Amino acid sequence: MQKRVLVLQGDLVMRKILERMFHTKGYDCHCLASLAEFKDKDVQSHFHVVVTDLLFRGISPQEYVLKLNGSIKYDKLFVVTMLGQEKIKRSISRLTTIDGYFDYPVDLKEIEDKI
Amino acid sequence: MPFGNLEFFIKIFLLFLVANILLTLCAAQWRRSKNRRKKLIEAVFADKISDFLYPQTGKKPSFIDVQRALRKVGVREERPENVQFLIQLMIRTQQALGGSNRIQLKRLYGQIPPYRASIDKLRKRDPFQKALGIKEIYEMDQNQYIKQIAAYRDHKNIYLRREAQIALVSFLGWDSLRFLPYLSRKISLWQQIKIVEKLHDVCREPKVEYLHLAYKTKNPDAIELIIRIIKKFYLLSEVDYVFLNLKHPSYEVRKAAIYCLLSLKVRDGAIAERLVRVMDGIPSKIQRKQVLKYLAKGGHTIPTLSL
Repeated sequence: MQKRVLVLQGDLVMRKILERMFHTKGYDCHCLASLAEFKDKDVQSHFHVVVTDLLFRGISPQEYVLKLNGSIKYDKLFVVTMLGQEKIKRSISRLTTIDGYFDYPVDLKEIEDKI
Repeated sequence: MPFGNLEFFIKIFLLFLVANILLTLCAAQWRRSKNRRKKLIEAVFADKISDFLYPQTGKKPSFIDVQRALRKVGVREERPENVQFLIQLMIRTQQALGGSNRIQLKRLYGQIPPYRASIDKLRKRDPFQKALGIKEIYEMDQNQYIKQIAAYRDHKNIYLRREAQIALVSFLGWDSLRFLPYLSRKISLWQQIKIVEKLHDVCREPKVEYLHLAYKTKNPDAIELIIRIIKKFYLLSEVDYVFLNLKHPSYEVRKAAIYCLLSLKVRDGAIAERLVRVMDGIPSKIQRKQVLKYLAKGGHTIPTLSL
């Protein structure tokens, strides 16, 4: 059975690139522009990997991470974002376990290796 | 007022009102269609870029395929607005990706439609347009245009020479410092900081041989810049140059030298003792006092000096 991956990225270009990367590696990839697009039937599902941004309209990165934790089940969480400040990294790590934090410019090979 | 005149004014007012409403509706429609076009360009760009970076098994990444798809959605020379939007998308994507994908993108950007749009801006009369063209070129890593850009490194327009200098640092790294002796115009503090940060981003490994080539400069701003680079990279081997400039006639150069030495002394305690020995040579009383204050804060024993 194919492993399931969820990509949550506001930037369309980045979302498409990540989607294509996971497809070529044989994952079953679902892409969303935000957590608000998440449908009820998906709430029950379980993802092997979640790759998410932290910048979404109307919600702070910390609040977003807590909301994500409450609504999705996953094994590994990777953050791909333009927010590279140590302060943000620390505060997010305190809220949840992160398997990889990649700020721009991100080398997607590193994500492939970690997965 | 006669009734006929009043009726005429009401008619004029109503006509004006209708024209205004029509104009607003047309503008809204035009904006909507422009946004739709932008979204379409973004979708096609995202699709083609992802296809180019991660092609389906058995397929090879194709420049022509990307080029055709973008032309089809209206990215053509006769539509400069669309071309400009594509350039912004390209820059945003380039900034987001690193590693092998970045190299792939650099190759692609040299081939797809707007590749002449940025360099063509250098032919315009307006220096702001030229500066914008240079900024786009270095942000998209198109170093084949370095020769054209280098010509503007000491231009009289501050924005133009600023972007040209940053472009040289982006493309050449430490090698670009050999241009410093040829810069005769002012390099603002903001520009110096931008250059130092860019140098730190593009090449973390110092190459002091290029810094030595820059020592020939007589421009006080360029000397300040060199001192800031020494401070940023903690180049303890170059400390003699900084001490030499403690006696420079420019107050700002001496200020940069003092801050640099105070930073370096954290890593090398001998610098503080040497600073105490040469302090008498600093021409400004205020700056001598300042050095004393900082050294005393660091717990160094300060000899009585003639201030």
